[in-house]
Amino acid sequence: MVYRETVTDRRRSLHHFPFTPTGYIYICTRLTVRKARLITKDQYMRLLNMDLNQISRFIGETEYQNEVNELAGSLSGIALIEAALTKNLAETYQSVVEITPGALHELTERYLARWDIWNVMLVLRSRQFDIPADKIRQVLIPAGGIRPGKIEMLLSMRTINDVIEGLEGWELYPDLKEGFASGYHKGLFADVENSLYKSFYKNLYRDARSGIRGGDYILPYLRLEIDIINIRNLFRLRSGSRVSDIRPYIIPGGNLHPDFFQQMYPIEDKQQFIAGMQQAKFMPILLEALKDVRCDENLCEADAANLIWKLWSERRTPLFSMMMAVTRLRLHHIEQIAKRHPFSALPIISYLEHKRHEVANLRTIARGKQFGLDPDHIRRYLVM
Amino acid sequence: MAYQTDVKPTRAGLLALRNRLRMARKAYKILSMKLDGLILEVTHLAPEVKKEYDLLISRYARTKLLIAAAYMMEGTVGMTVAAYSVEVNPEIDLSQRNVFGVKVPVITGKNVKTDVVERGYGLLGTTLVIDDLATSYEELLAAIITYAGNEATLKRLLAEIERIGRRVRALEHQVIPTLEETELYISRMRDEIEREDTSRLFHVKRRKEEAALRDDQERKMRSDIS
Repeated sequence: MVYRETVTDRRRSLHHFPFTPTGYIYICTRLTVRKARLITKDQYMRLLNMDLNQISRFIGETEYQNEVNELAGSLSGIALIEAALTKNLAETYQSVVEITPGALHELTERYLARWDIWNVMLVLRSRQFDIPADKIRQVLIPAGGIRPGKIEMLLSMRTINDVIEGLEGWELYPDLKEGFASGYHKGLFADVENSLYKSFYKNLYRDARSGIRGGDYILPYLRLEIDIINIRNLFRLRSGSRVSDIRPYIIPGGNLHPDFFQQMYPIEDKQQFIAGMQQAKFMPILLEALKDVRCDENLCEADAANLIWKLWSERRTPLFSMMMAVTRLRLHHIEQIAKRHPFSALPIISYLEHKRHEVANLRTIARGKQFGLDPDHIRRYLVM
Repeated sequence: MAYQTDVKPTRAGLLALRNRLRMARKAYKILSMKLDGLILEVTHLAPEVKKEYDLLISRYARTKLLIAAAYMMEGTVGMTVAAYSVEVNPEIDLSQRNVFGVKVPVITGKNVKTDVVERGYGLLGTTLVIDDLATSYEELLAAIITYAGNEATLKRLLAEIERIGRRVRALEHQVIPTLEETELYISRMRDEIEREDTSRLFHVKRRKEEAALRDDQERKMRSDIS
């Protein structure tokens, strides 16, 4: 009975709802079981040696059966695999949102709001650049808080302003309205998208601090994620941009202040750069990632420093394999803290992240096979 | 060697022929100079085009590799969304340049290389594989534009070399020798005609003298009889 009330009142009572530990135990256990059903490392290894048809069959026989059957009429081959994976991801996320009670529900929805940003920006772009609704439907991922019906309604609207007004009540509505107040100019969509993501992290940060269980442990994880994104973007801007002020592209709220990145940006001296990276506490992560990529345990911090300096001085972006290794570390990190706090918000986030990477992994294997890459090469792109 | 048969072996014909011959020799000299110039231009351009071609192929290979990586990491969905976000489209300008009288195209691109923050997709919601792919495509497009212009120039120059070469060879081996032969033929013909005329005059003279002699003898015989 108590649980039923929480579902109906959940929006009103985010911060003051009296949590029952049973709610946590229920949802965390359920998701831990689900997580255990995700594809294991051994299965990935087997998949790497299969051909595209076998992979198709494997996917059709596991969790993704319903989606594969549903879409098999209109799609085939790699398109079917990708569409089924994306649909499954969206439905899984929706179901997690459905079964999460109370404030955890809010947190989960907030955590999945990135897909809302994805969908909303897509709809807005389709109105501006006259992209047909059919094409947009194919790439929507209704995995966030905005329901598929609502997105469909937004798609039927004619102008950008109608779409924005249709979103009144959405958490990020004020940012959207403010962003589009000045009318269209080149680069507007990218700016609005960036500001939405910044607000997304800000809200998530606020929620994590609101007193839910495990919130204190999410914070370091969130800060790490923000730092990694910022460092990645620092390299991206350095390699492909001539802007002088990079603060608009840096997400605040991480361990490192945006001013730190602004100071790092023009550095051309090796010692200074390495000192900055050490100050950012990024070198150990980088070293681990490098060990993972090169499969060599004997590497030391100097090797990592040389590599990162080489990339920086040549204005190149880090290799994907490095980024993948960093993602692996991040995932490993959250799994560890989730194990330490089994009945908190962490197992939920851990499950959502693992599920996302499972879908990404299956897609990577299928696409890699389609492009005829060898299994060892594909393996470097997997997050296991 | 053949000679032209449609010319009249007259003085006017000979003069016209000599004019043509002078013209042909001048044309031969100028065209062979042009041919040399074109060949020089091609020898300069060809290694450049080869280099550009190699660059194009290497960039294409890199882009293919990156597109595989991007499809693996972002999937069709991520790639399509990034593609829908593009706000700046590259444009191509076409103009012409004159090389030794050959009109060659000059292709220049606009908005080919873009800043990562001006491409249209948000920096915070995408991964760097999209950046790398976009940069790689931009580089590929730049290579295509440079290569296309120079390759077209090279092709047109080669076609021109063939055309001019054919003309030079024709002048050298056909036109000029024929004209020379014809000139010789006409002079011979004219000499022959002159000789014929002379001999005919001699004949006429002789006949006239014979007739006069005969007349004299007849007149003498008639006077003797009377």
